[in-house]
Amino acid sequence: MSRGVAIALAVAAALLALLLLLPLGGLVWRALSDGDVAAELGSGATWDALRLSVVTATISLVIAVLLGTPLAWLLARSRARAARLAASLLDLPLVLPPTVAGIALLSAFGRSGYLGETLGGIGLSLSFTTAAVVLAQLFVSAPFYVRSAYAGFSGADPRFEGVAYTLGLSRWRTFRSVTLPLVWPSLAGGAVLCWARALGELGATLLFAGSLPGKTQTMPLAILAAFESESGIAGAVSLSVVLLGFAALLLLALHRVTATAGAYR
Amino acid sequence: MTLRARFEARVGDFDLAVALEADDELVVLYGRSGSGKSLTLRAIAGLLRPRGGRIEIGGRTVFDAEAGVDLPPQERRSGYVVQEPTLFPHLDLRRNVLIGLERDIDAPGRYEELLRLLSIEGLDGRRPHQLSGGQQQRAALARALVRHADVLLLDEPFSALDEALRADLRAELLRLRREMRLSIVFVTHDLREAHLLGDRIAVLDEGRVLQFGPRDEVFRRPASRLVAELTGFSNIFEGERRGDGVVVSGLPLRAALPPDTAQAEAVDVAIRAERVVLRRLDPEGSLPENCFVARVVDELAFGNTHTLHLAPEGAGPPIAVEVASRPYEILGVAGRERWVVELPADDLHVMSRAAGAGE
Amino acid sequence: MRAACRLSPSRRLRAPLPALAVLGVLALLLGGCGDGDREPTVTIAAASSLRHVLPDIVAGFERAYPGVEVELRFAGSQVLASQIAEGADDDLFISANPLQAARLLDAGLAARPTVVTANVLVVAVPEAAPRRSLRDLALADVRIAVGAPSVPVGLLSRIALAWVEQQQPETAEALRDKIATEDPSVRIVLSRLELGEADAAFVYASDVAVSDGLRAILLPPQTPPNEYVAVLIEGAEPAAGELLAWLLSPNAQAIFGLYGFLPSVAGVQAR
Repeated sequence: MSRGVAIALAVAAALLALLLLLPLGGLVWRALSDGDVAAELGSGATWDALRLSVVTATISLVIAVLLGTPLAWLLARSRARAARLAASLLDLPLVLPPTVAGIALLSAFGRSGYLGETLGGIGLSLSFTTAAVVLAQLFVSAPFYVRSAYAGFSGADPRFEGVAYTLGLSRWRTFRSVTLPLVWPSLAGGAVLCWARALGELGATLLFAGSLPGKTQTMPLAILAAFESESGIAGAVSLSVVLLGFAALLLLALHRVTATAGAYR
Repeated sequence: MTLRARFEARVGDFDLAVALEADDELVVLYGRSGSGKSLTLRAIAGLLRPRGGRIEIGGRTVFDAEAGVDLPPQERRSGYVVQEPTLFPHLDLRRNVLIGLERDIDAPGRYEELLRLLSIEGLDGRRPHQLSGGQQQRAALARALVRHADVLLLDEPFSALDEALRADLRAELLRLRREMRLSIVFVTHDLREAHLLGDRIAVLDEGRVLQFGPRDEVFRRPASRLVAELTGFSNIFEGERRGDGVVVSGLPLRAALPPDTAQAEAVDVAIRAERVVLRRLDPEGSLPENCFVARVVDELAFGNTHTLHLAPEGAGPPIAVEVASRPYEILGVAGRERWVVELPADDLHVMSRAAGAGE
Repeated sequence: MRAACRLSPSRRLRAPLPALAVLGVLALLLGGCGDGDREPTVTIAAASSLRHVLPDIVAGFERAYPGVEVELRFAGSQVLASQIAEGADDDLFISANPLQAARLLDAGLAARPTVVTANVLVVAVPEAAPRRSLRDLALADVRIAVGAPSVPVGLLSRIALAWVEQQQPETAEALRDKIATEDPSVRIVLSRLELGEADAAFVYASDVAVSDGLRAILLPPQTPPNEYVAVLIEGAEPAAGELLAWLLSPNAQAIFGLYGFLPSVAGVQAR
């Protein structure tokens, strides 16, 4: 590679890295200069929102992994054209603006939604509940996991599985001991994306789950509320930095886990 | 141990219908890529479900469409080794070989022995990417053998290796077969490999077995023009029966005839390039039987052999002749242009057209 | 970030599409606009709740001052105030939240605070629903949407409930228990009714006035109205002053009234 190309690549890489990091740095700088992060950290409301966010995002992730892994595997291993079609359709929630995702959820599970009426008939109402928060997060974030897992399973040579079967390994044992370790980096990467997306979910949650402190007001909703309040930007920024710091800690931890697990590659 | 398989399968638009068997021997499935060799192995291993037929491994029926028997791959006791990927990349050699045998207390003993037998002892803790291609294939063989497989199914296991390594591994495979009395089905598209390894050879094309028989029979007496082409006959001529022989391009040739050929029936006549004999031209004498005069028009040197293309001066077909380096030098082929070409009657193979029409 | 741009219409038509796109992106990036027109353009940044009424009022102004062009942009008061504080060059800011106007005044970025109209808090219910009073609501199995305490509509809702409590403590408590969500804007509160997810919503009378199929249940009269405070932004076009005065004119006030707003006490300083 010529020196010129190397420099151009470095510049391009640096540009994007800066574009991604500078706004975050700006947020932190702003919080330090006129926000009061310490005060927000001391406030019970902040912890309530943070706890709710982390709990719901984690539940969403667990559901996405438990249901999304078999789905991704089946889609990746199926030769049917319908499976490939389904795999593409599963990306659709990614396209929707979150607010529209919220309306979509309401149209299905809302009180006057086509499933909501049936649910209401058995005394079940989802909207404005913590379950709705999880459902909203799941709707927008699960595709990230399924997408990544699907890519992983598609990339894993199915002949490994075939060989494992002939070696006498059961389907489950093959999945556990052969397929899963092979696609683990994709799954972990997808899980991180999924969790991060769930943690940052705002629009769909607001519409589908509402915003009640302690019950449905997640961190992003609390930030939105703070933005409208007297403390305005300063309050919103302080809360955002709390969320950011917390997410950074967890993402770094996850990164360590996935980095060690993917070492054989 | 034995293998008997006769089944039909369909994958997408591809139809497969094969019948083959292996006793304590190495059967080569030979054919071009896309001829259905690998699918045949997959069906035997239980990774592809045939639509009909019957497969027996080691005396057990593992598949029988009529009886509704379809054992999963886990219960077929076949050792399946593919070209690549061979070993699971996340496990070291020992865990690769012994995977699933954690409760078999004899397995570690067999494992040690196999590693010695395959000259890969001491590599237990290495991950596949720390092993050479040859070591990986040996480990894959060990993994198949450690489970007492009744039949080894090898799908071009050596294709990814370089030639010297392949030669080693072939020799080792032949030794293993002798020592362990294994039934092996070996898939290859390499003619020389097929010739070297096969006790019997099944020639596959477009999902059909064109010919299945002992190696020399397949190589000397191809059942059809297509088999002759696939097994490397460079000289295949159209001719017709006349008297007790055939006529090719106006040249009467003595040759053994297949049964049931009528006078003047159109036949295919084949002779391998290395079976053609070149003689010095004797201007005085007359031409002996099965001989004609031809002129060298092209010459290719390939390793230890020379391939000459000759055009007939009178009656007779254009012909390719393969001469080893030594006779090439002794005869002084390089210095002469005109030669007497002899097509020995014993090496001429006459095929009735009907045999080839069966495809 | 500003969405509107002061490219003149004729220019916009002549510009090829890619160039337009580039200009648009540039305009967005710079947060400003191209050259101004010869004739003065006044930009009003107004609270979302004025979306329906303001165009009618501005139309009257433009008829009275043919030389002046008015551009309107709407967003939440908090968003607008923040944008102005960050340098958006609006001329007039009409805030649904006096606090946001006060922020700009305190920062020396605005002047002449004027209450131009006010909005009364009501409880909106679907016309078809059989509920006519707060008591009906308190006794029914309903879900109620209110604004978050950080936004004026939410704050007023709390004040209103406190007044309800003075007279009917059980009703107030029952209503509080039925609050299903505290939304960050009155628009979202209203959408709960539109989407059928809530049965009642604490919104403004003006919201009910422009919505089909909604009826207002009145709250205790002691509940203060929400005042709309207009401020002139520093460096505003002179015409913006005229426009501010126009908002208090009988003509404008009548239109406010048509849309469910309360008339302002003319010329009152907000503070």
